[in-house]
Amino acid sequence: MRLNSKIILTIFPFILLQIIVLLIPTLLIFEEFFGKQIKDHINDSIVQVQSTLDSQLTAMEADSDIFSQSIVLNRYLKTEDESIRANVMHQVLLKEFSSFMHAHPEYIEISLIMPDGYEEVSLVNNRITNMTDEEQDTIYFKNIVASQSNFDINAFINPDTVKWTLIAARKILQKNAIEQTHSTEEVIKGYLIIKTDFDFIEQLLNNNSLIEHGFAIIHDASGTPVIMNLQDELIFKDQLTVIKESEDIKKFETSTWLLNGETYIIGQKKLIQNLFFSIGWPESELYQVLKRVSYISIINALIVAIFSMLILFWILNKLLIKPIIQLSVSSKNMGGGDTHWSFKSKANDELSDLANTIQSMGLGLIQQKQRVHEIAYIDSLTKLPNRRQFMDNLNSQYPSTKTELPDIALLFIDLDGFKEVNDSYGHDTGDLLLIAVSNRLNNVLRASKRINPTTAQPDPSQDHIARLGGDEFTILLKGIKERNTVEHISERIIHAFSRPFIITERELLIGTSIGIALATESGESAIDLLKNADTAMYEAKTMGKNTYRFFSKTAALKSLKAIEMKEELRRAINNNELKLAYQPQICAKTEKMTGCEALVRWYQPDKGWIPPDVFIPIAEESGLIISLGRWVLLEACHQVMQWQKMGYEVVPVWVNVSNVQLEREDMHQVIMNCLQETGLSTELLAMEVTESSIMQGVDSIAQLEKIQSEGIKIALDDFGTGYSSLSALRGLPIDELKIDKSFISDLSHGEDGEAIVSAIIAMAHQLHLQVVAEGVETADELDFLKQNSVDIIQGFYFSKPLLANDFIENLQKREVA
Amino acid sequence: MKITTLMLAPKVMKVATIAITLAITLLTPTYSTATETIQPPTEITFLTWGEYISKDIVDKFEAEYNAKIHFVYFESDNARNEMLTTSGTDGYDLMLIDSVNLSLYQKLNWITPFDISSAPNINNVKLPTLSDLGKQDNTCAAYSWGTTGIAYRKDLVSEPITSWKQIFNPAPELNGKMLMSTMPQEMIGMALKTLGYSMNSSNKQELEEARQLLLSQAPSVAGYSAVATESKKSKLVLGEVSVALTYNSDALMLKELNPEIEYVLPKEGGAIWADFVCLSAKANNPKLAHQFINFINSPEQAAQNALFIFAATPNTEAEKLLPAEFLNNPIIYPNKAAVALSEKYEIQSIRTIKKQNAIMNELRMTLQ
Repeated sequence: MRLNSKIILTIFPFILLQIIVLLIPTLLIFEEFFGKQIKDHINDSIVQVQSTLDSQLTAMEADSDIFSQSIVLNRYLKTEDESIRANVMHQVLLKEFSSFMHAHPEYIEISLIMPDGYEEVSLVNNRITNMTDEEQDTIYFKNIVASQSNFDINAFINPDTVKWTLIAARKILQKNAIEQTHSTEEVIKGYLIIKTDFDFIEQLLNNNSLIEHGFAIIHDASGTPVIMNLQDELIFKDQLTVIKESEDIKKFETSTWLLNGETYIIGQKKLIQNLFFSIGWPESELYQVLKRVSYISIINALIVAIFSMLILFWILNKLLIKPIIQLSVSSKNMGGGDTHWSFKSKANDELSDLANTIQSMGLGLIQQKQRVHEIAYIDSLTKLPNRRQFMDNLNSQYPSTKTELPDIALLFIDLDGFKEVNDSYGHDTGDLLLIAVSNRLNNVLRASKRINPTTAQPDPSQDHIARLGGDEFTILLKGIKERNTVEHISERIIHAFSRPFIITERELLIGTSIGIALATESGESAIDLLKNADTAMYEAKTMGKNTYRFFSKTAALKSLKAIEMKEELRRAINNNELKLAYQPQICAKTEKMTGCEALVRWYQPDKGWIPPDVFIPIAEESGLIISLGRWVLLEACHQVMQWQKMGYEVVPVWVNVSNVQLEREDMHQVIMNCLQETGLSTELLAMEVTESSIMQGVDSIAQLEKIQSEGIKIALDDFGTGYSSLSALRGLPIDELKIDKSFISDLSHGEDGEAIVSAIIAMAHQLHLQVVAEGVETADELDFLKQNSVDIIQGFYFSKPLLANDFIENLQKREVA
Repeated sequence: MKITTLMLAPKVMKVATIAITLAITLLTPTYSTATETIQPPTEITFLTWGEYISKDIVDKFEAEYNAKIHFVYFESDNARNEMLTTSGTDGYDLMLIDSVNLSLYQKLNWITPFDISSAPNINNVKLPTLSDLGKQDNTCAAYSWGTTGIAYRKDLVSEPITSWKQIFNPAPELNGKMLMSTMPQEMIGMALKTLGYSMNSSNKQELEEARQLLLSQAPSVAGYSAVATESKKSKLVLGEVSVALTYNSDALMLKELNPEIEYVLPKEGGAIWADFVCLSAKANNPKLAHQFINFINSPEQAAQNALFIFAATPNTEAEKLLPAEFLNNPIIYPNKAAVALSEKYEIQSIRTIKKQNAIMNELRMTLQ
């Protein structure tokens, strides 16, 4: 659920509850109010009816008084002669009545009754027919005759209309004209009768809004209705008589009746003699009204509540939800690395505070992220992308959605001779060199872009140059379809390295080997592309360095073999599958055996003998040379010790030590441990090291010096293949010089070979070094070497390398020097 | 001015309207107050029908006696009764009274007999023995006599009217074309005649029958009004109605205006009436009144007046001076048979009067 719905759903019942709590007392007040209103209204109605009736009665009394003073009427009554009254005056009086009735249309009849009860003159309005002339028996006539007063008014059922009528009767008194006495005695000459129906009050009853729903009845003492607002038969006639018991009660009081299953609020009042007014209002109406009021109130309450909700919703939206969403969007954008902060708020409220906090936090996070990114993706030394970034970049070239291979080329660059620089001048120099190299690579690429814009990278960033580690760099080129372009760039790189680097006032000249793999040719995946470029780089290295090489399948196979071999070699070392062979070294003058070289042999049952020049480089590269070297040293010492114990006269054994061993181990300690373990004396152990070992640096030389100081002789192996000159040998801790077998085999090919060999021998002797010739196979070679004073001969001419058991024969038959 | 011209015209009709009455009563006091102070004894006031006396005769008398006669008019006998009942008889010297009220006015002491020695021409007056009309004492001087019948437009009815039945059971062509009287005794009386009863009947049953007849006629009636109708504006003259209940003298005056008007005394008989000039008991100038009654009853004047009002004169001397044409007019002098079936109005009992008035009231109500 969203926040606003939550808030609204929480608040809505509260608002509703509040309204309901306010509503209930209101309704109670309404109930009381309406109840009082009804009672007041009933009271008002009664007062209204009473006053209307009263004013009518008053009016009738006044009218009858005025009319009784009519001259015509009085002249008429004064006239004793009936025939005169009839023939002369009757119509005159009628006309008088008529004009009077004109002025008072509410009167339905005006009549004159003679003292004997005969109605002599009568004028009725057009709706009524005068039915009777003799009125002496009517109640109203009897009443007025019997009355002490001159005037009487009451409600009767009119004999002419059989309807309830208000009848006013007035005695008309005159002095007796005939007697002509002085007496003031007046006699009754007639009775003036005025009648009106109850129409004047009927309107009041029918137009009363209150009694629209209830009833209003004017009735007599017996409960007979005079006039009422009901159409139906009066079903509660008996109830109306209730008032008879309390006739004297003038004060109005309401009571309640249960009529026809309905409760009525009742007001009753005696109006005049024999005339009562009852008014009733159904109580249910009250509740009807209340129901309507409460219904409207509830509807209103709901509308108010909903309206409040809408306003609240709007306010929440404006003040809270929208800013929160904006903030959320801004934060998300910032989370995506966008430093632009889109959230804007003018309100100086908690939200804007929160937004500011989030903004500064986000900016902090972005900076931190950049730092982390730098750490994770940037090579701290060269500021080039590191291996991780490179891999990401490379992987991104292989989108999973695409099936076709990207047109990219990967250049795998390895510096030639970087290790030597590092060894010779220290790591600081090496680091500076790497920085210089990265700059130069950048320059090359920038330059190539300027020269050939068509091959320009779509992305001009430096991302395509990366440092994988050590002296390994990669260049990722995009938009490459042919080798041609890559060749140009590669040549330019190699050319760029032909100039020396000036590092700390030193001129350093290093080469570079470049392996190239094109994705379209040999890059099924990012991993493949990298591996293949790597392989090609090795290929270039083996091809003589300072060159470039495209990846080829054969090179790859070779590399694959190397990897396999490494694994097998590891197994072989662990399983003691290796054996040592010993090749005798013979003194050229005496032809006595002066020593033997321990050579490691690897026999694999399925592949046969594996030559050392195949697996030794692998061992060196993989570091297996450490354990292999130890094994060889221990085995050789052990064997010589064994032979010695067997009673043979033994010669010193020469063990090859790799420069790797010298770099990584305290070789002196290893040798001393070995000698101690085997118990071999130091004169019986000697070492052969290669030119490159000597060149590694001062550390290696110091080690060798330390070893030599123990009385262990050291020979420089394979002399002539390296770059070292004879003069460089001066002062080095070596006792012997072994001429590489390639020089020996060259002897039979011309005089140049002889000259070099004789020169080497002569020079070595100058340095007081013994000279050993390796790979001597023929007598001619032996002769030449003897003539040129070679000290020791090693080769097939005398013996091939022999396994320990076979070598025992040599020990037996050959004289030992 | 129009009224004055009307009065001075030689053949001015006997016309009574409220308008004229008012006009006269307005004119009269100004004249009388002016003369009263100068020559009090030389004027009298005469209460009578409108235009019921020849202006020439009045002028001659006034010239001869250096007198002034004021006229106060009434439009019906009942109206006169009302005037006298409400205002009394003060101010009147002479009154024209119908035969019924004559004895009642005497009882009321409103009138007093003439001194015949002061007005010897009264001796010339003697009503013929018509339905006992002649059995009058000499309290008053008979002025004229006539009948009540039907005036009709012969051009507007399909057959001549001869019977009351044609009026009280009217043919459809008369629907809304009949003008009736406002006098109860005339309406009820003629209805009773139609039914074959005496028009003075007090029999309840007969009166009820008359009431029923009148009520059945009422829807066809154009109106109930005073019998004396405005002359030139008479609806009969204009043809707005075809039939009117009226007096023979009035009918003849209308006939002068429209020859298509005929008068008939229906075969059932009608009312026969006589008017009398009486001396008011409170007369201010009895001498001049006697001189005036004597003057108008001189044979010449009476004859001239009869010719003017188209009514038979009871003045036997005057009758001798009248032309045969006048005397042979059957409308003025109806034949004996018709007269024999006619009746004069009688004094009625209070109950009959009440009944008559109630019926008349009822009829008037039906028109509202």
